[in-house]
Amino acid sequence: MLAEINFFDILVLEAFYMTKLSEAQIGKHKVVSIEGGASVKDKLLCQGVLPGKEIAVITRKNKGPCVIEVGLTKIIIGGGMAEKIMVE
Amino acid sequence: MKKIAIIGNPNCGKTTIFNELTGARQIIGNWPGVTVERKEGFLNFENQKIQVIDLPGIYSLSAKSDDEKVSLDFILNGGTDLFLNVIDASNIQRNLYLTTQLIEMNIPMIIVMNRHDIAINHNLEINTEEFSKHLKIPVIAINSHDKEDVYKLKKLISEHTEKPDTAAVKIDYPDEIENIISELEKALECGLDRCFENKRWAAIKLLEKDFYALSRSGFDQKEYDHFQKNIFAIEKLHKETTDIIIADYRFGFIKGLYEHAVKRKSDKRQRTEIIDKAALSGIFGLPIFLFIMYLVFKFTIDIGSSLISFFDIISAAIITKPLEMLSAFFSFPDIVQTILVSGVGVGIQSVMTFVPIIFCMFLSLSILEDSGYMARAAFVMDKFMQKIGLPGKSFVPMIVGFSCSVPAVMASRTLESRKDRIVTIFLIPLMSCGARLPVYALFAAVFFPENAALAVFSLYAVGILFAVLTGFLFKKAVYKNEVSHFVMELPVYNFPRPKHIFIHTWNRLKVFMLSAGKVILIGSVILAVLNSAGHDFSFNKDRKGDSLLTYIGKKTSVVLKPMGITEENWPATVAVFTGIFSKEAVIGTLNSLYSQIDEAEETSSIPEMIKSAFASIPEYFSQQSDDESSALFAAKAKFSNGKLSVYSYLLFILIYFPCIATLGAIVGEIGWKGAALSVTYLTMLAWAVSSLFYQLTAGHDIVFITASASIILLIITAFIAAGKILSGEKTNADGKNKKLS
Repeated sequence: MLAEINFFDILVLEAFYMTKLSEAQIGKHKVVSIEGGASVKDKLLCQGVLPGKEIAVITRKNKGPCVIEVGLTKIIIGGGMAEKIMVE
Repeated sequence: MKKIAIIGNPNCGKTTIFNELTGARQIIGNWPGVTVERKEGFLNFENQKIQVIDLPGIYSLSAKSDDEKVSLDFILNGGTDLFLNVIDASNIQRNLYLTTQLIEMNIPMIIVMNRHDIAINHNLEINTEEFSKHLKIPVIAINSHDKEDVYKLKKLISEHTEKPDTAAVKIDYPDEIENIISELEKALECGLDRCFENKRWAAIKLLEKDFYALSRSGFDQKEYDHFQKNIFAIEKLHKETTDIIIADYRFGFIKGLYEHAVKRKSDKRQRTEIIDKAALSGIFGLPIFLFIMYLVFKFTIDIGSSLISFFDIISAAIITKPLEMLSAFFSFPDIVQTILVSGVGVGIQSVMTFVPIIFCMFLSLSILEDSGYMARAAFVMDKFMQKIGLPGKSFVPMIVGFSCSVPAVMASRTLESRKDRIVTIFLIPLMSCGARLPVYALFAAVFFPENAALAVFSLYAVGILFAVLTGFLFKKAVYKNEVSHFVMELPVYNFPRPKHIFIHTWNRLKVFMLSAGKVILIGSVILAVLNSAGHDFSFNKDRKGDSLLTYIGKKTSVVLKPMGITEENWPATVAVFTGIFSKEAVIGTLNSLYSQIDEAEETSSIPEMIKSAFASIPEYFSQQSDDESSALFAAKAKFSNGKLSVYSYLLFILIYFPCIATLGAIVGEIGWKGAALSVTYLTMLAWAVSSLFYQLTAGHDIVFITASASIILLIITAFIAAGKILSGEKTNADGKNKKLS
């Protein structure tokens, strides 16, 4: 019972914790904002990565590129770009 | 004549459809003012001739890149009777994003869902009628390699160019946005530009904060302020910028449509999940990638190289030999014989020898691409390549460069951005190719018998080191503001489709033979003429030793002096020139010049040659070594200061002017200007590096040290200057944008 509460606490904490995608944990996240310039934003928009969208981080390298799932497709996001996406 | 245009995302199979529609005859040029390729051809269908234009692959119409701007301008300029919007049926949702923008432009169009076979393979059931009903335009699902499907498409095009349907669906946005749209539509009533005939589209474009649309809106300051105020109000209400709200609603529209018209029978993605667990994992990802690269390398080298002699002898038998007999029969003058036989004949022969390697290379690359692994490779190598400012994908051409620079340069095609292609192509010649290995190996065996392996290995390492440094230089000096932002879709694994792969490989091989072949032929004619002309410009096709080439070699050997090459060692200089033919020719030239033994040409009849061609394949596998090194021992005395001089000579061979076949490939990929820059850079770097090495270790001549150091400085300055020019162009463009906002 105690363990369950702890686990729940961690979940709650995680939900309010905003971080760069390049530092995000594996698992589900919500895109908060895209910091980069117009071209970065545009590239992501075309792939369906926009604020408010639920995404799942599948794998991520240390400070590097990551693979995320948006809708039914998986996409790779390069290291430089992942730093510009804020998720929670 | 009716005019149609093909538009769609990158890698959706647009080009294949274009090729299928237009056949072989195409006009390839550039769009005015930009370096975006423009392809045009004609579709002949039942006495009807239709002009077909292939627009560049784009994800959206935001006019932020040259590709997008070209496409947008093309649509706005009008005059096109029908647009074919090509969609990758295995990834409909993302591809439809561009479609929603096209729909809002109210242009006459049909939707072509390509790669239907893959979609079926993924258990996707696409209801094209449902799509058609919703969008009110024809929708067809095809496999572009299927003759029947292509016929159906041609028929559909020919029917609809006469009476095209215009997409007339309205994508609904939230009320506040719709209110501004109608307000803007009124404001744009007096718009001057043709592009604003479609007011709704223009209004949406403005809400997307598209500078290009804004620049053409003709707003004065008051109108502009009013517009900004409205946008600000909405953004406050929605807590989101208007461009994102619009994208969000478009995706909402797509989702609704997709759920209506596409059924997923069972999920095949599980298999992909399992493979990806290993292929993308932190521990196994890299070893798996390296193992696959090793297989590609092994396949190309073993299978490809085993066929080189076969292709060499066969093409000699059917091209060079008949040309030789022909010119002997008509007793052409020597100059004509030289050009025909040693120039054209041998040139074609050398193009042919590349066929097996390039074929194997592209075959394996096509399999990697079609199966979906290539995207994983890009991910695995991304972090490492980012350090020199390149995306992970460019690691593949680099690796290929160790076998042969020609297919490597051509493999750089798989990179999306032009900048990445240019940088990769600059780096590739620094990877020691298979032809340079025998040069290193023989020199090492003769001059460094104790640590031959170390010497060879160090040359490979030096090549890689300079590639990394060049990459750095590009990243820090030239493209300093351009981070490789890459976002790429990870396709579902797919069993490679043999037919598709072979067509793909064949097309790439054809491009090589045509574009690189041309340069190789020209180069080989020039070298053949130089080789048989005397320095008094007399001609003798069988000239050995005292040719114009030798003469130039003797006269220019002073250039290699800082490397410790003395004038009596002129064969080393001549070998540098013949090395431009192909790198392994360095050894052959040195051998024959040092020993002055003319290699006896075997004369045999055509049937005998064909027989020996077939015999060459098993021979390749049974025996490998040759004994060309004997004459090199004679050279030992010629290299003054022995080892250090030889090593700096090898450094020069490693870096300098790539062989003409590589040059041909580079010209084909980035044009004459880029190729000229690349070979100038390599040759200057080669001279500076090898001179500096020799002078610092043995020569100690302050003049040469200063000269080579200043050349290196000059190179760095040139890179910085290029960066300044490029960023100058950029800030100009940015400035224009800023003024508008």
